[in-house]
Amino acid sequence: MANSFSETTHHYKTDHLKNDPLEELREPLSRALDLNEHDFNSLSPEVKNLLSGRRRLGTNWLDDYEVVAEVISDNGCHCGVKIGQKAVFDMRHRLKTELSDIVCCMNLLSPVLAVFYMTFDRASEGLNPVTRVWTNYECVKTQDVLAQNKARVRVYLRDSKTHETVTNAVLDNS
Amino acid sequence: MALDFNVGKKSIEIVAKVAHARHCANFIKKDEIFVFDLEGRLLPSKSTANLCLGMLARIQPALMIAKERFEAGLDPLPVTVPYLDCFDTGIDFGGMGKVTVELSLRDVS
Repeated sequence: MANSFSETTHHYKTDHLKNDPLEELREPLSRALDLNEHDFNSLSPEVKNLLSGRRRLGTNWLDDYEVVAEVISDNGCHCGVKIGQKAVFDMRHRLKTELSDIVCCMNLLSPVLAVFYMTFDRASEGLNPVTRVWTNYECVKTQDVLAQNKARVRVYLRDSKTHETVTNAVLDNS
Repeated sequence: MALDFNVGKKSIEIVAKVAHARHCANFIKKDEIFVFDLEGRLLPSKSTANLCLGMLARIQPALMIAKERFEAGLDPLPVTVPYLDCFDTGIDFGGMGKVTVELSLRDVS
């Protein structure tokens, strides 16, 4: 018989949040996302880890930072993407159109989603949410020169109020 | 209304309309839309849903298919992919929310 999700956390031998009911989140999160008591109590260890990022980076970390994808290469691109254009995302991976000037080509922006898989994981460990390894992303279209000419973006974290780039490796303020 | 696929690319838009949304942390709601042109570009000013990359990235392959089919003179939307759902696996499978969109075409005019 298959184990329930709450019994299968493959990356850690111990579920550190097993006995943590995340009480401070219960009411606001349940109200915001239409979760009943059963829903909240059955949140997977993975999601609890995701939610615990606020314990390390501060309650408002999702609002305190933004992820910027700035175009660094536009050779061969026929979609109107140009060097210097920026896509600005909030930490919930929503495009902030009021701060972005990029032509929103999904062939270029879709790969950036990978950054946000890492942001929540890194935040739960108290790290800078943006990876220092996987910072460059490129258009998924190979084009006609075997992938030499492509639009590419570089991704970085910035303070949402000052717009200063945030490069500290660890942001944990717990 | 039947669309004329012999018209230029600029005359047709792809609409991804939210068919179902549950516990979405980005507050995407049923009947909201994402609008794209046939080059695969999101049109934010015509979209009403929060522009969640977890949903948009899922739609991207369908945009490539649509362009390919359009260039071949076919209905841009394949009948085999009417619905697409976001990357969040949902609360029952280790995630949180789940959004599903239905693709359709519309005449720009």
